[in-house]
Amino acid sequence: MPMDVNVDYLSSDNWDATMRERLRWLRENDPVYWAEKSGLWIVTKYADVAYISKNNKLFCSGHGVRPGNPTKITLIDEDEPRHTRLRGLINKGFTPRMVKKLEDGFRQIVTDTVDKISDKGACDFVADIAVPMPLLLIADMIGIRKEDRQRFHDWSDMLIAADGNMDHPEIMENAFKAFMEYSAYVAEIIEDRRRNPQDDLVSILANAKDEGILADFDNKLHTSLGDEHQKLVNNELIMILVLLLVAGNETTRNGISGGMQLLIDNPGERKKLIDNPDLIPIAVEEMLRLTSPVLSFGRTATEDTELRGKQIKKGQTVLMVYPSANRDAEQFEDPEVFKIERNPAHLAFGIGNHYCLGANLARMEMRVAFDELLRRIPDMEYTAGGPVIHPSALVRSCVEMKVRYTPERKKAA
Amino acid sequence: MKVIVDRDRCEGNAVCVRCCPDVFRLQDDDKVTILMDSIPENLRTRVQMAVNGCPRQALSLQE
Repeated sequence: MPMDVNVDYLSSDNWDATMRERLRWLRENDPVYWAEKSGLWIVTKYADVAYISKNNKLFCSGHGVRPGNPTKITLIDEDEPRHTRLRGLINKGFTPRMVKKLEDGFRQIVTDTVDKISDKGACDFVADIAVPMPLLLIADMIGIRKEDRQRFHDWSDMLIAADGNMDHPEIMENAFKAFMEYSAYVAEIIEDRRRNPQDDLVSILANAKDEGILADFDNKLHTSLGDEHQKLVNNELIMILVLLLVAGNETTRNGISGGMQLLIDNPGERKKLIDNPDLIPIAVEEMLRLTSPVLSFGRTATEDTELRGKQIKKGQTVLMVYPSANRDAEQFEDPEVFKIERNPAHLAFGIGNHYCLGANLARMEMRVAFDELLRRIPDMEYTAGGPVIHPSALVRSCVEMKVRYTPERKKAA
Repeated sequence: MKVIVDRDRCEGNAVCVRCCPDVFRLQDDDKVTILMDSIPENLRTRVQMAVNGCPRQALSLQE
């Protein structure tokens, strides 16, 4: 009997543990599937996700890439030529040279984070390790004061929770509150950098705003939320900083927790990595393939077209499902198996002109994190039942992973 | 086979460097430079992957 694939793919509740099976069924039986309850196409194969991503004229981003959430958030939902102009600007904060400059600071963050738990013998890998590492780096990049890091953390959580939960008033209310507080906070930083420019991202962006490169949008979707909110949503500079907060935190956090989950589940591969840390950079690629922190993004067809014999009409949305593409047996041999030496050409960062701007940064973070973790705490194992993963349609959301290990000091003694 | 880079397009995503470090290297200005005039047969697949994967379509091949 075929899987029940006729579910609403925009509702986070359906992205529980059964989704992987459903996606596999679609990939093998109906890879371009019209999801009636969501009113869009579900695309599950590697070749199709790559094809759509690279044909940005036929499949555009400008009508939004997070189906079900119409708020324009800049860059990810921009089309050419404006997208490239914006990207060229923001990219200056994320080039390999800039990432290299951030590496020493990040290594210190990682060392401090591991120091806090290394003697305890047990911790929650998510709250104690995966959360603080990328959070502290992005906070430093944006210029968040040290005493406000916890608030920054809360804002990030509340904002990311909004996606796929438009039907939960309480979650939306919290996201709205977080947005207002965070916006007001970064507005101050922006003003400061405008007056005292530094060699950092916010100064680059503030300058771009003054030169008229950054725009004010005309979103009219939030009128019920009041004029002040409306104004902030339409301020592109603020929205770029919202994008960085969300995109830079939850994704990397889940790359790190997902990576550790794979290592715990595959002790043989972990042993190889501990014995040969030079393999960490390519092991990170395999972690990215199987974890695929960003679960899906959409595109809109700009004209009638055909994909695997299916007639896609102009204006219809296609939803590209990255963890499915990254498990496509036509692309990867034994796709479910974690092989640290595979060095796969995965789609976890997408492909084409919207390729993840933070890919260099994320790779550096995962490499440094696992370098330190495997060297100092090589024997982590689950205490409870393993990772607790919240259903989510947009970004993988591991909220808890209790682990135990030999305390560092005891080991040294 | 030759690889050509459009330096105006290149923005230093370094996808090509990951695909094939023997052929591509980033310079100090974050733009890519090609290390070989002619691409040997054994590197063709990786170079093709690099060309396909470039987010800015800044790379092209010339037979």
